[in-house]
Amino acid sequence: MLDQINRLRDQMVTQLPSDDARGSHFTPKVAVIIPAYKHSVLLAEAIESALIQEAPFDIAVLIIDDGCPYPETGEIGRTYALAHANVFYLRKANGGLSSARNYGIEFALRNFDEIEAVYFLDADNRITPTALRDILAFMKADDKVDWIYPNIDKFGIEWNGNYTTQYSRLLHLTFDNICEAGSLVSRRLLDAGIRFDESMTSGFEDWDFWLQAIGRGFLGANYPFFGFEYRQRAESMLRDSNRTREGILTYIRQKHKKLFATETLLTWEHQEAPRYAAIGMGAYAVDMFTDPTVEHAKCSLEDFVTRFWAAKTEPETFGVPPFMLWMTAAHREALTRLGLIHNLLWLGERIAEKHHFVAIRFERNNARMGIDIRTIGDTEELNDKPFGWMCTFDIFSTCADDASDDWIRSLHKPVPSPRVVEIVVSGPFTAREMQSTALSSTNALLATLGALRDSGYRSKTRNRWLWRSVYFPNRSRYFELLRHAVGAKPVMPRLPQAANPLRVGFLLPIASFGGVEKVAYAVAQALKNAGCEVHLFLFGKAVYNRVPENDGLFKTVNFLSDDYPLWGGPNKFAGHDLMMGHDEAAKAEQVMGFLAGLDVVINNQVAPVNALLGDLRRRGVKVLNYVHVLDKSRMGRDAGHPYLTLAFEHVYDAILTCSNDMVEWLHGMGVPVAKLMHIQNAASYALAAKEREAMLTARRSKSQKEKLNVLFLGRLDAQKGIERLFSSVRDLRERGEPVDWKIIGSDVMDAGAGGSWKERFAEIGVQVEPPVFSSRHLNKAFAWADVVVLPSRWEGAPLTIIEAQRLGCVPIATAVGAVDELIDHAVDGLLIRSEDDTVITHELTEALSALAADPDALKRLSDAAAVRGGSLAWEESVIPLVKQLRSWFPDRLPQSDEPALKSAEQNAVPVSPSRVPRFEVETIDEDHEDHNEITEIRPLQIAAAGSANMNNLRN
Amino acid sequence: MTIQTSYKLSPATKSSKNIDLLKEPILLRLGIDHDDLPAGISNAVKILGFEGVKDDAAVFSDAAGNKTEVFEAPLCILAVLLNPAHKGREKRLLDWLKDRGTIEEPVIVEWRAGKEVETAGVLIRKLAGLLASDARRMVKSNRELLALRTLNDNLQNRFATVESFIDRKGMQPFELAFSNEPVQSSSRSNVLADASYDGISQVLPVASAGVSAIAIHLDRLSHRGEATLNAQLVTLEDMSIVESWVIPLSKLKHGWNYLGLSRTLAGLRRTLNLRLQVEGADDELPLLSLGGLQPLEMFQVRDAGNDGPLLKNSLAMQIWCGMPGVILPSWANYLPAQSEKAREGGFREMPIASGILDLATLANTDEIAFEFAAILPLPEEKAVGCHPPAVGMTIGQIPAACPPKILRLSSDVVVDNDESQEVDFAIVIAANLDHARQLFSEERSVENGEGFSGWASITPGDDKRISAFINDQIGVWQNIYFATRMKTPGNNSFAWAKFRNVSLMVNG
Repeated sequence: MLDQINRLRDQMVTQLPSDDARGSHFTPKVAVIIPAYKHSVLLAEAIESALIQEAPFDIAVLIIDDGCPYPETGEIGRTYALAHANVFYLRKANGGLSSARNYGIEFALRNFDEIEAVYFLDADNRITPTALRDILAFMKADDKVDWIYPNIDKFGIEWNGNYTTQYSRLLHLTFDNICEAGSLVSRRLLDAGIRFDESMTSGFEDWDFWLQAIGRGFLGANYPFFGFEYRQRAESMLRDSNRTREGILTYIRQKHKKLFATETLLTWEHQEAPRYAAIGMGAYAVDMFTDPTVEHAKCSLEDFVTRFWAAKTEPETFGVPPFMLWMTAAHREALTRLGLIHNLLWLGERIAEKHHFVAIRFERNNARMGIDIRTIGDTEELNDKPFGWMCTFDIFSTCADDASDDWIRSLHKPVPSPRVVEIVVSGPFTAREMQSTALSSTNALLATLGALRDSGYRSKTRNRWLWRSVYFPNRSRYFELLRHAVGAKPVMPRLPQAANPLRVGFLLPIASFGGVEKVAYAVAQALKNAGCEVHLFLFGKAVYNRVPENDGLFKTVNFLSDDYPLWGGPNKFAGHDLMMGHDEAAKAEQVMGFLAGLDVVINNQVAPVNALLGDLRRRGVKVLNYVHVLDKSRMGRDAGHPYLTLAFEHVYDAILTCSNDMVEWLHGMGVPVAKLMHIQNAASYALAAKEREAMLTARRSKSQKEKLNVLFLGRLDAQKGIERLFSSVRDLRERGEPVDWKIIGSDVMDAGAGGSWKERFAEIGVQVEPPVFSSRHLNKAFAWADVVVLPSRWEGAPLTIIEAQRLGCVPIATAVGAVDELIDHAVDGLLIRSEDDTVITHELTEALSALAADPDALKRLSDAAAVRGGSLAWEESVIPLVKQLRSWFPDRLPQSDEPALKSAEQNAVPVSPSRVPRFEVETIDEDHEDHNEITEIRPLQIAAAGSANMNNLRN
Repeated sequence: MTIQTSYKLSPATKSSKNIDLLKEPILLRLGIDHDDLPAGISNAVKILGFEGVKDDAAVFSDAAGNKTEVFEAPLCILAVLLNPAHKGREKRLLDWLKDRGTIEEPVIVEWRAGKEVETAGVLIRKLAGLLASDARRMVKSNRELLALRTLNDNLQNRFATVESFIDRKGMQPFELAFSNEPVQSSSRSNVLADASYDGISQVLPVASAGVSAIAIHLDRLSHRGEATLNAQLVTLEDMSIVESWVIPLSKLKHGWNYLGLSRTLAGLRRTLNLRLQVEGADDELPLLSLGGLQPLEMFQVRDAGNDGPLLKNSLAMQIWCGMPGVILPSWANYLPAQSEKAREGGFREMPIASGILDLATLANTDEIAFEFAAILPLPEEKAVGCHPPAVGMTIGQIPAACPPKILRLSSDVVVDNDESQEVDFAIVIAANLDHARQLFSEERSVENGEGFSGWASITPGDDKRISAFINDQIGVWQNIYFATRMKTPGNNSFAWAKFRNVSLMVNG
């Protein structure tokens, strides 16, 4: 930079025109705007400093008397205006500093065609004679720069502050106003309409001015030898401003909400102070990024070493990424492919701050993805060859300074001297991805250290070379500014993609095969089809059980991987334990960082996260809560997530339910109907129309003389009415009815039942089969069964009913929860309305007996069930939600006739010929107008929901 | 609630006249044709007609009737000439001016045909009032200037007293503010040889305020006698040359060489840039030592010609700070500055600072010895004592204290004890002691760059000033030698011989 500065200076000096030439025609290139109010005497100093400029161009000096009550101001202004052809004295009614500067800008633009820049000089400050010459040349030398700001050299109360570092918007927003008003501003910036906010009369109007400029894409730069002299007295307007700083900042943050949004700050961090340095193994190349999946800066190892030592010498001016990663690009790619790279970096950052080093290892597992965190010690040895390493700049810097490298060299050992934690990432890695490279990551780490330690830049003296006082935070610690600004720690390093799709996060306690997960995945798929980018966040066990159909559904999968309670808390609401944001166990900063960078979150029964959703919402995130089922306590009291929903209703932008029953309950409990949105359940997995038709045809051709095949699918527990089922099975077998049973489910030890249900069923001659999760096995089970039974004590709107109906399997179920919204009794299934166990058992037994004896009735029910089950589709169900998202984010989601939504056609979700998905109806089919009208007037339609058992989560 | 003014992004009406109104006093007419005014008035001052206000702009007309919209209040309205028939219309003008923050309303003068003299009288009264108020302001300014001058004199005197006290008591702190030690480099690059004709530059890591000397380190010397090392110290914030040196290469020594400033830098803190250039030697340039590799590009040693980094090192350097008037340690190879002011031209008598006089030492230690200091700096008297031996002479020296381009070295000489015998005094400008001895012994006449005052005999109570005129200037710094001897050898008791108020006459 110094080269550039001096070259420019030389050019300017050689171009200096004679006085005669300047006198002939006054065409100023720079206007110095001096607002004057009550600095009547010091004003002369400011004017003089503008008049003695040694510049090869004309300079207009504009004194803007902002209605100063002191006559002396006018006298001085008029005197200079009369004495100097390039001085103009403009008087206006008092309007404040902003209005005075704006007045000067307008005057300059209106009267001087050739003006290239304006300089704002406060009446009590000064500039050196070469300042304008040098800074205009400096600005013109870089087309990307539109304002030049100085270091702060104060006189009076003497202080010199070093503001020299590459300009950073992140710093400018999150630290302080780093650009003094006494800056040179390009005409281009002023022509863009950027002006001082005249409502800001208490200070920081200059900060707001720069934020406007940033918002319009302009950038500033510091000129280290500016020659700006700031008069500091014991009291000043700036000191007044600092007293009311918080109030003004609140105003600024509100006004520039988009600039303060997490994704904006993250993007700037990525561009200006990237958080991670990924050091190539053997390649001598360093990638510097916050989000590795976005285009980022790279440099050679030599450059990195130089930067490293520069950062050690002048940490406020130069920086390197605060976290270092040694991993091959191929392994980073593998993690990206699985949607795990951001999560791994986030976890690595979190752990690296508490331990010395983080080892990373991959494990191949086609059934699930997951994270395991192991603390290395005598009982847990380090794996032979880690796939990667992470650590902080601080620890690596200490190692670089250390007289010996014995300590760090022990990373080669099974139990190294440094505190090491290993992150084991399991997932469907390919064999090639699992192959280690020729160079080990441990050697790469040590080689990097060797390069730093052997560098000629390594200095033992630690002299500071910049003489101005330190004011800025360390350039390598801007990530902390980001954390503070977004109230998160660490912040998930995920940036918006170039197309900036709407980012929706699905929050789940676990990722098993429960109804809640299935609904979440299905809605995610539908939103993805509508153009959203969907992400999965798991707060409980760090395992995502892989569903092959959902591969590629989530852009990223994220595990909190911490000791996080999924239920409870020290506070009480309506007989429920709950967490509040300030509770330590809520891990507020960590969870805020985990969820950073999303536009929408949909909480699917992660109880404690409710405590933090208010903070997210205040930061512009739309918060939705998905409610499925009203649980029962052990003693039969209504309980569960619907009650938490009442507790936190204030923070939700919308509450999604899968049943009308739940809508009515929530409304009855005080939730405004405008917040409630019903998303009608549909089958949780896709089934091609051709395949379904083939299975229905096979059912129709089944011999009527065969036994009635009855299926139970679910947990063997009290909620599912397992005792009722057992009694009915026993009775039917005792009566010798022609019924074959298939009971599929996981055995839950139930003390009340006296032991294992699996064993008890075996005793009566029925073998319980293990749970099935894949669509293939589910289809097989439903195809086999004539009837599926659900004698549950409570339910939401079970997906099993819809999936069974879709294949013509007749549901017989207790009319609990929203089950009666899924079954039209005696039309497409049978409902048992009693609450008495004995009656229910009896009715179930009788119904099965009757169907076994009446194949025609069974066929009639089966045909109607198939029609009903086949008519439901998630694309249609989520239409109200998509419409809502579109209204919140009008520019972020494609309209319904755009390609993104049409991708839904590619999905194999079957639709009945008589029911066209509504998003198509809206645009092309007027025959369904009635339905549309109903949908619009009553968005809360009948639906069904799966449920996660509250007690299970609690356990 | 944000109230953001909306702005027209393209200039609405541009008028050079609009600006003209901000540059000169004017008269306004209201309801009066320009031609109705006597030429005598319209020739004396610009007169514009006020036509009204349109869209927040005042409309003025000139002599030809051309109308101009004006947004800013005119700089100085001498008066408004109003046609009595249009009385009341002036309110619009006054309101418009008030909206622009004008406090003092212009004088409204009713214009009547045949009453021109009365009108002129009003204008003259107005102008007389302005003249009187200007005079009052001028007087006030002069008074304030006087007060400031008095204050400045007081400060000067107080400062001088403090300086003298510190000097007398030896309270002269001098500290090493920064040191970049030389390192052995395998390349041993000679940056002076690698640089362009303009030499090299180095940004200093210490703020300007308090800097007294900058030491550079030489690893190898050059013996080109006529060549010089030119050094400049520049402040980057205003590109001022705050100090400069012209040093014969022969004066440089191996190791640290101290470029002493003529006075410690004071004032606002700035960034210093040291520029070094060798003149008169194309080859065999001295080898400047370098510090370690420098990761901060700004501080890498640069080519002063194009300002590109020459190497990834900084110069080896020391930066010394102190209070005004401090002197360097006696072991330093102190190279005094050639003050920038010396370049302003003309003959100027420059006193040698007492700090320099403090460097005076006995030169001919091989010839004489006393139990007390033969050469005794007396800073409070701006003098150096030089006690003559009973037989022979005492020679004192001040190294490198005589800059190039001087015309004359002068000093008052006194014998400060009435009981002393008559003492002879002489001063010499020479390159070394041998040359000085030859001149003091009058074995030969002066050569180029040398000067000799001749011997002057002084009795106690006499007050005489002696001068050594230089014989053809040369471009190098010389030593100053001064000597005393008893006019009549034998009794040197009470021979308190002193050189006082030593000064140089400088050309340019």
